[in-house]
Amino acid sequence: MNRSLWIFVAAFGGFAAYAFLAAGIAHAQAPDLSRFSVEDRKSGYVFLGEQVRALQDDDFQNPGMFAVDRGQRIWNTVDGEAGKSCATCHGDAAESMAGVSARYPQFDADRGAIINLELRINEQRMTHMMAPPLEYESEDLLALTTYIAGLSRGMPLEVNIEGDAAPFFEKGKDFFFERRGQLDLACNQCHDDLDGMMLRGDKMSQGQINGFPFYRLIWNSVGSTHRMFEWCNTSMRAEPFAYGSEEYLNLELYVAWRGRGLLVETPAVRR
Amino acid sequence: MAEVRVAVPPTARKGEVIEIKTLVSHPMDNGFLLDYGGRMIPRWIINRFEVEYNGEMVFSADWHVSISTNPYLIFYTVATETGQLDFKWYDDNGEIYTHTAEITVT
Amino acid sequence: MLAGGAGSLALYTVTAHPAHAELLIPDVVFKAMVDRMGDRTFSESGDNIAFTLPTHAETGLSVPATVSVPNSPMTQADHITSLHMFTELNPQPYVADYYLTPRCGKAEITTRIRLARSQFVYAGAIRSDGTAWITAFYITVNLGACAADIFLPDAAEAVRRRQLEGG
Repeated sequence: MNRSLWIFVAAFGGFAAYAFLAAGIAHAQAPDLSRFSVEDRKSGYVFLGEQVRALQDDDFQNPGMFAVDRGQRIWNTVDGEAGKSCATCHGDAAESMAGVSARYPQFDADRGAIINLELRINEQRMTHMMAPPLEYESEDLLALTTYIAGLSRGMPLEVNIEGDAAPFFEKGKDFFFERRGQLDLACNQCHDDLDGMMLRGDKMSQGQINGFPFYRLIWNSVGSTHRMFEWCNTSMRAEPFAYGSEEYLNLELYVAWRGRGLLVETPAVRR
Repeated sequence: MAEVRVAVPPTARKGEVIEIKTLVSHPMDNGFLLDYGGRMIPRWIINRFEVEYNGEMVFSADWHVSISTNPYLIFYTVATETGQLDFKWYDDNGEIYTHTAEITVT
Repeated sequence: MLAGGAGSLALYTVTAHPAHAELLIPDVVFKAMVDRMGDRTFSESGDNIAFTLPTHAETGLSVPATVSVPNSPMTQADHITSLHMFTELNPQPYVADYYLTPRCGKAEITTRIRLARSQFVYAGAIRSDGTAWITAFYITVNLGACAADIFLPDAAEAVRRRQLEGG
């Protein structure tokens, strides 16, 4: 009896504090989200609350910045038989890599297929540095990808889906609209049709990838687009595809195009 | 190996209360999680944090499993004299992570 | 003053502040308080402790929390020696203990904590004269879409980690 009284008082106090805060914030600073959306395309940032936004906004707090720091070290570290580092050929990444990730994934003539940033890094390591490829989703490859993608922060996503890329784009699009798994869901059923609605305690996002690789709180780590695809597929109880598989590369191209014009936020922080 | 990030103002007036921010990259495994095979992921957290200002302990903390991954902390200290701040984090595996920051007090 | 446990719930009360309701503390939290703050008389903090949390956490994985005693002069004669945080419904009640000195200049800490679910969170402070203050805050916590409980396994993460370890 006594206890429920206290709970009531506390809850009421909390509500009063909330009302006061909400009023204060509304007057002081309604967050300006205009740079997080283009037409009807919205970055995942829009669907976050202020506690997680605060993590992304502050480079000091953003745990993804540890990956950026590590990536920068790897960029300058010599590896492989050729005795080169990334910097040997590309110099200062801040100049040479600015805007690069916004154009990935893209069609690669040598592969005759789509290539993304992770695979491009590994391809360059093997051909020019004579170094072994980094394992997909390993800490080092994630760090390097995050570092490079982070140098395009603030630049709009702009992938090429014309020409040779077109058939792969169509395959990726088909994947997005294809139902799969025991829950018999397609990507679009949540991310096109239900964005902004609640799914348990979370707000459904549009599934945009402009902040990737991103730091995900439930993973306690940075993750790539393909890990997110895998996670999503597993959540809908579908058999996931491998990291770096053609299916996911095509999907990545479609999803990047779907978010065209959104500004790169890497390393984004999401729930 | 954890990485640490510390923000200490490089200069301060004597007697000024300065804000210090710290962030450590650490999984802070809470020891309650089981994997698919039902095996426990052992507890692995930073359990102790200490700050010395020119050799004198000014602030310390005991952390438990409810502290978030990548522990973040803001605290304060009085800028008393020019010198250095030594930060130490101790984890369950006996690892000690350290950082030193210089401060000039005018 | 401490009052004894109330029935099977074993709740403890601490001295009521004139402006606040009586604070009842569950057994598990009370034991943790005695463990970390010592066996002493606890008083409801009134306005002495400012315990700042969001009223609603959008994820329990990383909830910003600030504990401060804004009116403490932090002098040798009168300062806060420690600040504490406890939770009621996490697997363990302990969150953190901060030990301060007059050289801190300001009795305030901010950190990010895990909360397994909606629950009371408690803050405590000990003053240099031995006074111990307690306050509580009720916070609601979101459970994410598709995601596992934060103190239960995210199986996909565990499998990935094992793959990386080569197990």
